[in-house]
Amino acid sequence: MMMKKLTAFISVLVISLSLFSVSVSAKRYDEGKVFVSDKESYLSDSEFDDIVDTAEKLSDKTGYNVGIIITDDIGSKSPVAFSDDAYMDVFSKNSDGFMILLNNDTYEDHISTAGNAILMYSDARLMNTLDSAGSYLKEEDFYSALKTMLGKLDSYYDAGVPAENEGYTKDDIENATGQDFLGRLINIFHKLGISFVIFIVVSIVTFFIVKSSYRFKTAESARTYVNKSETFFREKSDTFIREYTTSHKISSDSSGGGSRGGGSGRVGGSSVHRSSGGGSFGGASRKR
Amino acid sequence: MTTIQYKCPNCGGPLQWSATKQTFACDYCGSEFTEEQLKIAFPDIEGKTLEENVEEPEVKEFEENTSLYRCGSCGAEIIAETTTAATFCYYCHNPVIIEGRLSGDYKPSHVIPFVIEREKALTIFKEWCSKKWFLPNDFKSEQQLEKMTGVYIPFWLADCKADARMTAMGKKVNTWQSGDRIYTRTKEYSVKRSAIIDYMKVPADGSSKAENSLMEAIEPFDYTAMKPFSMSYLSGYLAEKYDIKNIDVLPRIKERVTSSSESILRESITGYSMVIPQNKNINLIKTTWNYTLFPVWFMTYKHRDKSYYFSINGQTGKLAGTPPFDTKKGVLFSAGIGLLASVLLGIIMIVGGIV
Ligand SMILES: [Zn+2]
Ligand SMILES: [Zn+2]
Repeated sequence: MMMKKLTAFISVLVISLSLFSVSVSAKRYDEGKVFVSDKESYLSDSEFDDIVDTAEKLSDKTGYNVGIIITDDIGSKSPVAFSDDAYMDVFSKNSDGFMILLNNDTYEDHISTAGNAILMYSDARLMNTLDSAGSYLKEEDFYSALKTMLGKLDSYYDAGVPAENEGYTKDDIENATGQDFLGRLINIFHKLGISFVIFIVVSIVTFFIVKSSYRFKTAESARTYVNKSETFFREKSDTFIREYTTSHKISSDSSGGGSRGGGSGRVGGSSVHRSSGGGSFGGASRKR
Repeated sequence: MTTIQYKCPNCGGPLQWSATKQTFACDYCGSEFTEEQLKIAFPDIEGKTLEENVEEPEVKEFEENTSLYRCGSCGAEIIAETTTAATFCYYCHNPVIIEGRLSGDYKPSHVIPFVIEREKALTIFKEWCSKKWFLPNDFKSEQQLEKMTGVYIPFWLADCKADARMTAMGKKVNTWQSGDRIYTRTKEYSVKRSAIIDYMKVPADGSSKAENSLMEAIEPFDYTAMKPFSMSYLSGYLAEKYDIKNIDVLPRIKERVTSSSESILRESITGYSMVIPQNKNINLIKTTWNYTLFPVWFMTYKHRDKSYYFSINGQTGKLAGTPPFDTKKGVLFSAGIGLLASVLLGIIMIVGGIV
């Protein structure tokens, strides 16, 4: 009896230790505002530590969440969706930050931006960032690629919000990605002072209902006086004249708004969209 | 073709043949008839006039036992039985003066006697007022209620036949889908309807003082209780002398009969997805008149120099009238409801975590 329990305990210990050793070989860093994942160890240990260090410094300086994922498996998702969803999983929905996806599955790299980072990193800036790492990515030198990209994002932060995005706020991003009808309505009401609008509308409607109930109720129709026994139809004819058939093609262009939970739009120089998880993201992709 | 002098089947006036229109036209009431319609109107004898149903002895009795009063202020003419004295005008509340006797021409042929007596009428009015929240506070004063008067109002009852015709295009539409196409099949029909619609006793009041809409709003009266006129029904009540002749209420009768006939024809067109009316023609081809008195409780209410008229059907108790609306009360109430709604919404939004 005792032996059995002991063997069970040991086997569990061995299995969990072996699992741990496997997970050790996959590199992953997840502390506060920085997340770096390299499951297949494309980076050496020292490279990985250096990237984490650089990311930490950038995050400290900007206050942004900094996420980096290198992977050869993005499942059935598009690079955009994978990167957006990863950002939402790791960080929170309405936070500021970005997620860099180095995609060794379909070879389309992507940077997702969220919150104020959308305004900081316009489409042009993101494309430049991806372009600057282009040659390293082709050679699969992911360390240099990431160093270059983080450096670029750092220097753009120093340059401040690009002119075309000045004056926009997070609210504009929310509006541009198109909320559902109710959300939009509530937003408008909120801006106008919802209570006041409701007050005015309900008051006016009530007043007119009350007032109209004081108006005269008019006479009934003379149909009350129809004498059915002396009333008869002299003619009741329905003559067929012609028949025609028309047809038209069912239009299949169901323009993609709302079907996946949100639309897309622009805020200044940044294009924005709504992810299936309900968050608003900016971003840019580049094929290798 | 022999020359026959046709009489107008609606008013008894002489008919003139119009060669251009190919119709018989009446200069008195403006009616027009085709020869075919005249034959429906007078199936037996062509050109017969209205029946005269005046019986001599009763006319004499009516003349001798009624007095005519006139309101010096608004001109209303009031009839009272000799034992019932009229003192004030129920329209404008001014005193009335006796004018003399009334000619027998004004003797009605029928009457619907009062069923709702004074106390009952007052109760109906008070109950109705208590349901109105926005009446001015000084509205239901007893002084005004004392002036509530039971009056026999002169009514013309028209028995008429309408020749109603309508043509329309009817469409039956079917849609179905096949492959990636939607098919729509439309079948078009030419629809014709023609009917002789008989109306019995369509009422129109013969009083220029009583508001027409007010009189129509207390309809219908129950004709089964209609009695041949007798002086005894007048006792204790006032009556009004008609000052609008039957020929002058004909347009009102025509209007009501036309719109009702139209809807009857329209409803007989069924089974279509869409009906497009093309032509309609509704003609009154025969009208016979009855002069009657109907029981009405009258009340005139003066509030801030404006008069409000109420009437209660003296047979059924149905009430009609436009009450004065206290705008201040109405605004306060509406604002209260608005406030309540906005506060409720605010609570819902805070609880629901939307804000
Ligand atoms: Zn006539
Ligand atoms: Zn008067």
